[in-house]
Formats: sequence, C-alpha cells, structure tokens
Amino acid sequence: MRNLARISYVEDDADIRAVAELTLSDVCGYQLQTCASGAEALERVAGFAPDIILLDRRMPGLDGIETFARLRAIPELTSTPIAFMTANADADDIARYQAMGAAGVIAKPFDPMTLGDEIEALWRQSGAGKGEA
Amino acid sequence: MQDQLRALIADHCDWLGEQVTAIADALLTADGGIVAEQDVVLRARETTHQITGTTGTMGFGAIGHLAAELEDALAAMAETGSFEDEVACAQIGALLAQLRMQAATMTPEQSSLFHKDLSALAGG
Repeated sequence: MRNLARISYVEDDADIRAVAELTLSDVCGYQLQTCASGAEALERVAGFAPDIILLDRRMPGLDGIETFARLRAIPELTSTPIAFMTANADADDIARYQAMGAAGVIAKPFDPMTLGDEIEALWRQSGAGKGEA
Repeated sequence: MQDQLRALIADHCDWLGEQVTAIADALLTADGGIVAEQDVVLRARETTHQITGTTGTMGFGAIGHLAAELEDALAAMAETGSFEDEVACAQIGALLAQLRMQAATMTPEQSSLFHKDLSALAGG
C-alpha cells in the first residue's frame, strides 16, 4: 500500500486554487499541481503523473466533463482516479459521473480543513494505492 | 501560513464587493427593474455562481447560501425569459440588495476560517 502524494487540481477560480495550494501543499505536504483550465490540464497533467486528479465540473472553455474525457484518452492517465469538484450535484449527476468512470464527487464549496481527508478517502476507495510498495 | 490564509480572506472580501457591485450595475435598471436581456442575466448568473463557490470556501457560508439563492433565481429567469415578471424581479432585487449589504459589511474576522488553526492539519 502506498500513500497519496501527488494531486492535480484543475480549477478556473484563482481564489479557490490559492486556498487549495495553501492547505494541500503548504500545510498538508502533498505535491500539488494546479491548472487554471481544461486546456492547460491537457498539456500539463500527464507530465506531472498525479495519483489523483480533481476537476472543477463547471469551467469556461473545456468544461469538466469534456476535460475528463480528453484526460482519459491520454495513455498515461487511463487508470488515474479523477474526481469532480462541483456544487449542486444531485443523485442523478453523481450516478452519471460514476458511470463515466469518475472516482467520486467532492462538493463545492469545500471545507479547506477537511479537503485533504476527502481526497484521501476517494483515492483509497478507488483502489489506486493498492498493490504497490 | 495562518497569515497567508488571512490575507487571502481579506482579498476575497474586497473581490466580493467589486463583483456584487458589478452585478448590480449590469443587471439593475434605473427604476430597480431587471435588464431584460438574456445575455446580461446569464453573465450575472455566472458571476453569482463563482461567488457561491468561492465565498463558501473562504468561510462565509451564509453569504455563499445567499449567492446560491440569487444564482437559482437568475437561472430560472434566464430559462423562462421572465424578465418582466414582477415577482421574479422583486425576488432578484431583494436577494441582490441583501448580498450587497452583506458584502459591504463583511470583515475577514467573520470568516469561519479566520481563527482556524492550520497547524492542526500538518502531518494529519
């Protein structure tokens, strides 16, 4: 069993990225990559080799759904857990995301004090940390 | 790091005031009605959606809920085209007025994160 270490977070809101960087990187010690758009994520995420990817559901340009599909098509990311960050997701939305292969949903607005725990839980549920030293 | 978080919260208070003023300037007519243009209402909705997510994350949950109510009302108006519906206009006007008042009087210390101990997260 290995530990969650590397997180990519795709989020268009600069304030939310700043809070995530402060809590996840500076305080919790994860290696965090932030991308401001889906297009930026498609260029950078594979090179970062994250353990998990967090995608804002609603972004200008490429939205979360389209970004999800395009990230999944990148060979290095086919099995990387991807979770959506979204407000107002109902049960149908969550079921749809899971049917697409998403690792889960983190509700927005999130609590910075518990965000790390929520990501850890999703990552462990996905089974991504099993079977490696 | 606590200081960094507090600086982010303070910046957010300034940002919110600017955004709410911009929404009001774009959306309200001189007589307090709503500009009857779908693009204007949709842009206001997008900005309000951003406020909903960001403000809640910054520890201003009540303002975030208020913004979410406004977002829903704007979405309903854009969807139905009810730009001249008096009830809908009055609801949006009232919510926007509340949001402006909250934004004008909010202080960083009111954020639920302001007094949180970030060091409790380290190594957790």
